[in-house]
Amino acid sequence: MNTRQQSKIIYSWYGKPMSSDRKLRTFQYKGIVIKSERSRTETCIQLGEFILVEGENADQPFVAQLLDLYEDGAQQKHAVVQWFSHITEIPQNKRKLLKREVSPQEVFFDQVSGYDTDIAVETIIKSIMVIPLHLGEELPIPLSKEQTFYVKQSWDGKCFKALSPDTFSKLKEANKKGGGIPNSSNSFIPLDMISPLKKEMERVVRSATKPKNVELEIESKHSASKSSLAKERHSQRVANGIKTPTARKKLQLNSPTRSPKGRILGCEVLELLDDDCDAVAPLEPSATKRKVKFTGILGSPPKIPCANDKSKSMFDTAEHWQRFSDTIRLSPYSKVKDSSEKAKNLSMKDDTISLIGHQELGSQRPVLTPRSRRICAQKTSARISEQISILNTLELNQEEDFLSSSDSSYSSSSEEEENGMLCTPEKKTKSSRVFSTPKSSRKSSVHTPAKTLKKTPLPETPKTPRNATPEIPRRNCEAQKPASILEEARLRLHVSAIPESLPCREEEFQDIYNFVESKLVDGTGGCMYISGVPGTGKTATVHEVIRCLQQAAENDDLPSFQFVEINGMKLTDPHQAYVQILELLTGQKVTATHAAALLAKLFSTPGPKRKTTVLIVDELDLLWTRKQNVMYNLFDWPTQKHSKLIILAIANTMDLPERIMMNRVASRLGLTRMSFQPYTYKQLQQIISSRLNSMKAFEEDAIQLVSRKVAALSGDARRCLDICRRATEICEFASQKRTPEIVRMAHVTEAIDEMFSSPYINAIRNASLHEQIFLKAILAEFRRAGVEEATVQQVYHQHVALCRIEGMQSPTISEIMAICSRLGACRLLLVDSSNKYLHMRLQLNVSQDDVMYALKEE
Amino acid sequence: LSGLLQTNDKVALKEITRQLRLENVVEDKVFGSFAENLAFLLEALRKGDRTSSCPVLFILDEFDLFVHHKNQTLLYNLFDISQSAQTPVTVIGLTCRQDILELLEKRVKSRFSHRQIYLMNSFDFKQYIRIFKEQLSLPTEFPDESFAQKWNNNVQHLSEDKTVQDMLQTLFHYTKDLRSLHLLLMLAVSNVTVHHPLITASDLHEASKQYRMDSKANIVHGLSVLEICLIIAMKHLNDVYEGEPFNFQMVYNEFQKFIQRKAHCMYNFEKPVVMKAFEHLLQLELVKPIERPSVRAQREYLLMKLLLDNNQIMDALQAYPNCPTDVKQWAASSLSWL
Repeated sequence: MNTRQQSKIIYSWYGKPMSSDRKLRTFQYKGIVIKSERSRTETCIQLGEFILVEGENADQPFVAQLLDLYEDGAQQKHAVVQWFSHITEIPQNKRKLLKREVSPQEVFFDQVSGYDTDIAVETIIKSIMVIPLHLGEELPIPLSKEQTFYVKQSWDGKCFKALSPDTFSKLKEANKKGGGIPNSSNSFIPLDMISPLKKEMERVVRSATKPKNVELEIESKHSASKSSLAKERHSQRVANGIKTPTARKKLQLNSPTRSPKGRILGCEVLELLDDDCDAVAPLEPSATKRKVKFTGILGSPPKIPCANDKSKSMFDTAEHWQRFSDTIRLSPYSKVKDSSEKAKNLSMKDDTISLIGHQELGSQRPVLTPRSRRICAQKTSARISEQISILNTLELNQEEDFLSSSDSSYSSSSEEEENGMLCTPEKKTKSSRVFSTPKSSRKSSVHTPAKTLKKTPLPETPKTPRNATPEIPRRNCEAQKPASILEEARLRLHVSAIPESLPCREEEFQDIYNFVESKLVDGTGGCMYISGVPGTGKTATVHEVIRCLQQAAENDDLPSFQFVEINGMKLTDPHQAYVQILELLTGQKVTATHAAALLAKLFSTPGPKRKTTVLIVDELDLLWTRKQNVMYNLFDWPTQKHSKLIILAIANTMDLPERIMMNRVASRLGLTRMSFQPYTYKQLQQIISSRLNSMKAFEEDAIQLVSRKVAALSGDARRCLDICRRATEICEFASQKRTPEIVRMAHVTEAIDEMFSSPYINAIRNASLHEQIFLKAILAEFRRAGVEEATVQQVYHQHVALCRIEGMQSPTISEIMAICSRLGACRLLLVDSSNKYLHMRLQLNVSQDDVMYALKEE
Repeated sequence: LSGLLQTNDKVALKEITRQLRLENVVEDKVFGSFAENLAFLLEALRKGDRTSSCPVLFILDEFDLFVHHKNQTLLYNLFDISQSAQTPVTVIGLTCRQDILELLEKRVKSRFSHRQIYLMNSFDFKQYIRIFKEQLSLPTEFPDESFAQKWNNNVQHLSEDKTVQDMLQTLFHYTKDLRSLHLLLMLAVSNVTVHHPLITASDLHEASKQYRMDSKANIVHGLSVLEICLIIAMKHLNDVYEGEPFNFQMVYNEFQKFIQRKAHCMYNFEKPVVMKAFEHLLQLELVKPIERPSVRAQREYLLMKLLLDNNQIMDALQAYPNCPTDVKQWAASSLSWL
């Protein structure tokens, strides 16, 4: 798309290098100019200012203070920063240490070691304000709409501390400096008459997105998945991330050119804003609950009154529209009062917001020239009224919903705000300065971008199934509690029951734990390959390790890490592995190729503030592709310098690396191998005992019998547990009348027989007479010919002969064919395709001895 | 799910999602790609737990066909869920194959509970007769009570009739499955009319005859004498060369020998006529070429095999109306002309 190319963002130095280091060949600068081509604006950020830095998840920028700017020998622009942490970046369990509510606008002075403070300049998004406060102080009502953060405490990874007076004053100073030239960003934009243009831009952007939504809602029902705005925007963002990964270009994303069919362009759109807020109101409730979100757009207050008292008459004609918006403009407050009276169920908080929103609306009006406004209003209102007429009928029913959902309208307004912010960050600040009504900026400050931004990937069109929440229906009746000791035992013996500890795998556990721990502490990456036959506890052990490590990380014994798991069997295609990893890491949903690129970028670039990632790849062999690029990438990432990626690969075969992997893949996997041996009978015995946990449900000998039997066969713990469970059932069934007893040898033997007995002999015994004769005929024919293969014709002759001996009527060929196909279906026989008729070849699928044994008993 | 309908995991997943009525289903349509559906379903099942979510019972009919799905992904995941602390899930597979366990991949097999139930037709003839009675008897809620009474009495009599028992016995010896019994009874019952309200033993006998009919031998009854002669010639060739394949030319020569030496009432047909008859047999699939007919090979020399057994031919000849005696003699012995 050309919009993307148009809006390149250019980073250049501000001024001449202040100093240079000959040895390192670096040049230091005092500021950086960020120039966006699309909006033809330039922003300058100077040392000491506070900035937003692009995070690994584009929706969650980091806050930092710019400490140093330099260019190295390779002409790369670098910045050295002091980080600030959002509350969301602090581990869940540590947040309670604060013992107070934290406003999303609050950040913490970050003293955690291990975060890279050297970042690429291209990741800087824009400048913001960070104001230091004393601990007891309330967050002040911000003076402008500019994004402002507050810092009260510092965070060093373990605990929160009040800011030291030193840092406090430093921050204060930096702030003042920023405040002294508050318009540092402005001072370099004398290119145009900014304010009107900007204003316009802002409006364009906002309104462009809105009407689009309105339309979408109307036609969304089926095509929702495709046209979902959220998705589109998101995918574009992702696309952007790939093209020019270092900078954020929210601006273009919402740019009007993207609006559907390019219908809403230029100044036409401008006006939509005004009408929109009203137009959207009636439309929205009719769509779905989620839509309500959108109602919060700047104009949320006017909506309320109109919904309440004028809903019908309101939307009939364009003039009405005009008049209505006029009244709003003239007397915003009265309107709001009106609304608050009408809508009693709205909370106070909501009221203030609506008030604010309203004022904002009012405050922005004057910028517009009345002429353009009228034209547009006429154009748009015609369209809008058309839509309204469709939805009018629905709207009344939903009205109540809408009004009562004060929460949603609240959050919606934040979303809207964020739209504005995303679209034109600098502009926003600008406009707020011009019309700096003290309250209007409140809203923007209440919601940190980090918070609001997170919402964007969320569905905006709820009909899109991709956003549906996966959930199995609830059960009607309660799950029964185990009544008897046997039932209890059965529950505990189920494979799903998570044992308190994993007996018999202590050594393996320790090895894996040490491996991951050492890598975590070093902050490096690495691979480990774990193999073993099924049912030997590979996955369970690895999960246990992760659980312990997470525990340790919570207790601050280890640096915290991110845990991601994928399973080759749970992927439809090896390349889906990328998609899953990325989604688990950042929550983004993209296509496989995009995901691969994003991941490669994530793991190969020195990401600021990134935690170590522990990745479990289960059933590794299924990630095999012809070119093996999935495996190659997986094992290549940990070797990158900045990846901080630890991979635990699990598969069944011990020699997988040698057998199926190319040399370059196998070499990257490395030699850290571990193999899980099948359990011995003693270990199995211990496993069962530990699961039963001193419950008297099994005889000691019975357990031993099971363990020995399974150990001799496969050493599969799952099988062992299954047999035990079956034995309890048999026991329960046997002792139904009498008092329940414990599982004895007999029960276990029965269970084992049931599971291991071959079904063939039983099947032969239960076959009909002629089927048995046919099998005999086959044996006879085999003996005659000396080959273990015969045609139906040959067997038929034998069969007829046998029938004569028995003095029975001999069957026809058709009957023989029927018999043959029946035996073939249950795989007692292996048969050719049936179109050869008499010349079809037959083989026994059972050993001749078994057949003889089964037939002799009769 | 049925293995015949859900022929791959993609279709099966959609069907599962549809039947579970999850949220990505809109009006019986499941959205999203295969990968998304799988991820979605797994996520849904993972979220559940024993205490809160509704247990799900999966029945996989024609289980053996699911085994052939790529990587056995569906089976692995279903078994894995059933073996882990997620939504309670029971998977029941139905198949007629005894060797099904050998078809499971080892990691799938390990997750299988090895709970197997074999359903066998393990009843004896007495039970078989009882089933026969039950199948034929009219239920008590039948509107016409007196007729029901009469009918049921008749069925009782039938079951005690010697010929009927014999007939059932033979069927029982051939196959124990009840579907063939149903088929037999169906044939018999379809003879019931207003004027012939009750089933008789002869009805059953007739049905049994029809049921046991040899299909290929039946076709022989409709052949012309010339075609029969060709089949006899092939039979002799089979006897002489012990089942080795033959071609048209050999059959024609054999036929010529018979015509010249023995035949009294047979015309000597021209070769193209004989060829035509031969091709008719080919179309009826009484003879079958052992290799695909190629453009280059002459039709006369294409190697063939006879799909009839000697016994069948002889039986069919017995039943063939107006068969010339010399042909019959020739059929009995290829050397009879000497």
